[in-house]
Amino acid sequence: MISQRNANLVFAVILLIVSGWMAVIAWDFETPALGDATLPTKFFPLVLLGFIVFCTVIYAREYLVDGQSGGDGGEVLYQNSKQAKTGLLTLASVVVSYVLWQQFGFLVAGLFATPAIAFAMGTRKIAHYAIIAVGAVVTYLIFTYGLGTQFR
Amino acid sequence: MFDAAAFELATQLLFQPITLVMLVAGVIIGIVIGVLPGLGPPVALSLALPFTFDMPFVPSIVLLLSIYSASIYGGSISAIVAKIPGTGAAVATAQDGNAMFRAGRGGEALGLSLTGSVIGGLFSAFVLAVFAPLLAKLAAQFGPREYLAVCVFGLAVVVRVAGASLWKGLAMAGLGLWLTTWGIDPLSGGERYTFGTYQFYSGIKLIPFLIGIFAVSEVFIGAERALTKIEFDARSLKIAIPGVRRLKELKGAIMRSSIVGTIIGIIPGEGAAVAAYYAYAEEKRRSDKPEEFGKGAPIGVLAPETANNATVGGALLPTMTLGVPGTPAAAILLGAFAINNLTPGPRLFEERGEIMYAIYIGLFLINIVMMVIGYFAIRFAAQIIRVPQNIVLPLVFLLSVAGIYSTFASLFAVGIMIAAGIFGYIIRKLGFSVAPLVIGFVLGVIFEDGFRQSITTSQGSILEFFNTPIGLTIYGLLFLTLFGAPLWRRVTSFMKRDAS
Repeated sequence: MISQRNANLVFAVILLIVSGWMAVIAWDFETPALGDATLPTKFFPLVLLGFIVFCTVIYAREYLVDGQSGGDGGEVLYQNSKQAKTGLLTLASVVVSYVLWQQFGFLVAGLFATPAIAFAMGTRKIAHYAIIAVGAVVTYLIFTYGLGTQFR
Repeated sequence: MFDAAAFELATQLLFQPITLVMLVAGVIIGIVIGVLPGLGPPVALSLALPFTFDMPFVPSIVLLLSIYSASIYGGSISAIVAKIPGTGAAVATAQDGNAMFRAGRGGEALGLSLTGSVIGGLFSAFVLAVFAPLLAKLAAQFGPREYLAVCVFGLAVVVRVAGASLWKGLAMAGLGLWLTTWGIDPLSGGERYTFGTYQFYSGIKLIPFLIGIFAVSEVFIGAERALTKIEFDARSLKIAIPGVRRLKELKGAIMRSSIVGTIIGIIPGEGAAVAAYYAYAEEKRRSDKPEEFGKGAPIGVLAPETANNATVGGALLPTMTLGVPGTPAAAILLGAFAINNLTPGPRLFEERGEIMYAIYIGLFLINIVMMVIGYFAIRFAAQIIRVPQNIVLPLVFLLSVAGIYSTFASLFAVGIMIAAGIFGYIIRKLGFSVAPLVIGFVLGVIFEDGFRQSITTSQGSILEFFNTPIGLTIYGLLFLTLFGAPLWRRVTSFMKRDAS
């Protein structure tokens, strides 16, 4: 299993790359003439990105030198492969349901997402799937007819 | 100061049938959501927010406040009965509460938690009613430098809620602040991180972001927990409310925890969980038998439960007077104000006094109703813990997306919520604390505006930032908050050494 140290180091690298990229974007922010009296538009984003980079470098250094930050040395990201599979499958279900919503509407997305999350969690009982599906339809009905939401 | 007409109007609005129904419904919903593991007040409030759209303001705010208060209390039930804290605020309660439950003193633990929650809630409602009008009067004199001082105060507490690693916490606080720079710059009108879409012109919206961070990430984290059947002895679910004599014995702990909870609620960004821990630690430190804490000490239940409910009134103080939310849940409450085109702040006190009175009186009523419902519904509420997570979590996700779509009528907002949820999941897995990110995000806009406007008015001099009595007082309080305790310890140890 992936250790907290390695996962955090990868995350730190991603954070540094994204911060650098966002700083490049921020550098080109223009301050319209109206805003001349105050600090430039790019000032705050750049300062904050600098702060994020500073903190990230320090905690990444802690992982590199001490092997831990805040006492998480020896800890792992997922306890076992089943836990990893559950988390990632749930995440995938949510993302797919969002795409389905854009294409086919809320009801289809809801009827996909809820049993998919339950499946990712390892649900075996058919009754649970039935309860969840009914819950999805009831949610749709409450929002559509009770609150007047016009779902796409 | 006291506006009799506004008070009378507030009582009329509060005692309308719809408001009373919302009050009772809110307490029941709050207890149910609070009992369910992982779903705290921010999730409860965000799920309820869309249902308040077509309601007048008073019933809607009463519904949300009832849910807010009752969900904090509800978390203690699962903590005591099954050692599963329903909310972060009940983590401190779980040790002693469950130890008492297993020792056959479950009724006493449940009674202490309910009584403590109600007293803490009533105390903070009283503080709110007394101090909110005074603070609102003071807030009328607030300018950019004063608002900046309030934000600096809130951001400085990140140090306390950063989690195990300070630098990871600070990085998240910076990220939270940076995310608020997206959209049109309110001062200059320049575009920042709009990525060519008008959807980002108003930046990343607060409510989808908060619901993503709290509710959606909890769905991912909760899904990973093994599906275990929760069992407990239902015969022990007989609540025993402490008598007057017992309360007299515990009055010191109740008073201290109420004060601690209210003050921590006032500090922007900190919440019920921090208050509960703080009160627990303080009572353990003061106790003659600290070794009993964690093994079934009644004060180990009473103190955190009193403190966490006392944060409600405390959190509403800066929310209503300054528009700076004291807790993430209070930030969602701001959404209810926005839906009704109301802007919290001194003007609201002057122009819509009846709303403020309705909130004060409403909070008192909510706590009284919570005492009654909590007493009679404990058996039923505890059974909710047995509802399998694989039914609860998918439906929480669905309600979250439906609620956000209903609120913003935008799939883009749903996308923001899901993205925030995925990000929240990643950082929680990596051991980051979510609190600094949320504090940064909630205070970001006010912080930047305050800083830039202060720079403009002071013509570039940072020293001018402190040339304001109110601001200086806030910075002084910040200094005391951060360094008061260590300095006091140092002074007392020096004096003891000197005496010996």
